[in-house]
Amino acid sequence: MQVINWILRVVGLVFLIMFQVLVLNRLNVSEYVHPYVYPMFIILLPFDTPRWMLLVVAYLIGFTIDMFNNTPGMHAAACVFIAYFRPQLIKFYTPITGYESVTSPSISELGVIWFTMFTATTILLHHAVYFLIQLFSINDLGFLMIRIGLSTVVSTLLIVILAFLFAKRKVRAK
Amino acid sequence: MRSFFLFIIRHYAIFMFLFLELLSFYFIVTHNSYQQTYFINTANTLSGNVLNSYGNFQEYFSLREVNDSLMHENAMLREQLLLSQIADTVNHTVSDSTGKPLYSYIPAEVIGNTFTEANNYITLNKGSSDGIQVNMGVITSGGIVGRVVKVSPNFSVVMSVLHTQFVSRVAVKRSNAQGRLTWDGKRPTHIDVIQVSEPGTIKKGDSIITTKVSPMFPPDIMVGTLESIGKDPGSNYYTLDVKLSTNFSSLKYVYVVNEIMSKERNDLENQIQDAGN
Repeated sequence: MQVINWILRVVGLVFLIMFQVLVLNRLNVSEYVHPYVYPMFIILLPFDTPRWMLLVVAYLIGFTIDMFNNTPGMHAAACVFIAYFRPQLIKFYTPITGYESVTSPSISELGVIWFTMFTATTILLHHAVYFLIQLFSINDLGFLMIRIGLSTVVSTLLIVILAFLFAKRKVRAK
Repeated sequence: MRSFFLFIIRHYAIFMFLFLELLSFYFIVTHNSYQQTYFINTANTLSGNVLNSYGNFQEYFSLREVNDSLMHENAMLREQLLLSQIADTVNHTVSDSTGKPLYSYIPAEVIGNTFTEANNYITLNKGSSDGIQVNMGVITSGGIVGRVVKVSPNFSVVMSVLHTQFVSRVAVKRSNAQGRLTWDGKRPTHIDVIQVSEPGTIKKGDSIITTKVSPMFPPDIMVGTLESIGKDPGSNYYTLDVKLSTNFSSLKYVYVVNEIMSKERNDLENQIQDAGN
């Protein structure tokens, strides 16, 4: 069961990276909206994932995206940042009843509101780090603030929609 | 000593976090320093091949569009051929007044392209084995695209015009007022021309073209149309806001510009620099 679970996760990761690199990066919505959905993989990792694994996995995923975008280090830095603060976030968003038997963030077990809040905060941290690194090149903090805000909203929406799609498919398989 | 190790083990997460962040920032900083292309990755085999096979797959869905643009370009070239007195145009070359060819073009296909980053790069499906070299200019049928910064045998990576460190000199076609092309990193459809000193009769809608001063591109290639003029505070320079004629979100076929006499020109210019020192 554990093994199948991880195989599904890896397949999901490949899909997310492809979707990011081959679809989202080629959309030109607006200069303020640059959505990144691939951090969804880090969001969905089990609650008991060891910290070293979180950090290493996050770094490798960020580095992969960097390889396709020619943005060395930028996505890696943002991913490592959210991986480090993930345990604190999980603690902060503990439901009143605790996590009980829930092993990883899921929309079906923890509810849409919990999932959206957790995703939005993680994505906000990721986008803040990522777009603030662009200050090296774009010397306009106000512009980048708007870019962070609007991109966070769009990325969060996309991830919640994707989570719904994946959740439904699981139910059908049963 | 033992307690020191215990301390490190207990707090390993923060040390690991700091280490990985420092590593990332090392890449970012070294990459951002000028002309550092050490970590340009899309020319490597893995990402190059992934992008290439996706490009092949995607081609089937855009055949009509590509056909249209090629027909359009064909028509335009025929028209130029009629107007031109230089017969060499058929052989993809541009000659000087004595008939010596100045530029030749290597056609290539875009397999990877970003335009939403602050520093964008384009990956082409041709490389050094097709004659592409670093520092060659890249154009498309409707405008300029960028400059080659890295080549591997079968792929090459181009620094897009949409890169905050891309520089080229351009001119206003009607008045020949010159300026420097720079991108502010925001809109992929617009670019700035800075340090234009003689506004003269420049007005909205003027064409911006490449000049002979920048040997990277052949002269008189369209860059874009002027949208608005602003004056730099505290100087006599003007900044022009230009709408790019190249559509970066649908870039498919490009031409790599080979300036045949670039070596002679560079050698000569370097001699003067050496003599100056």
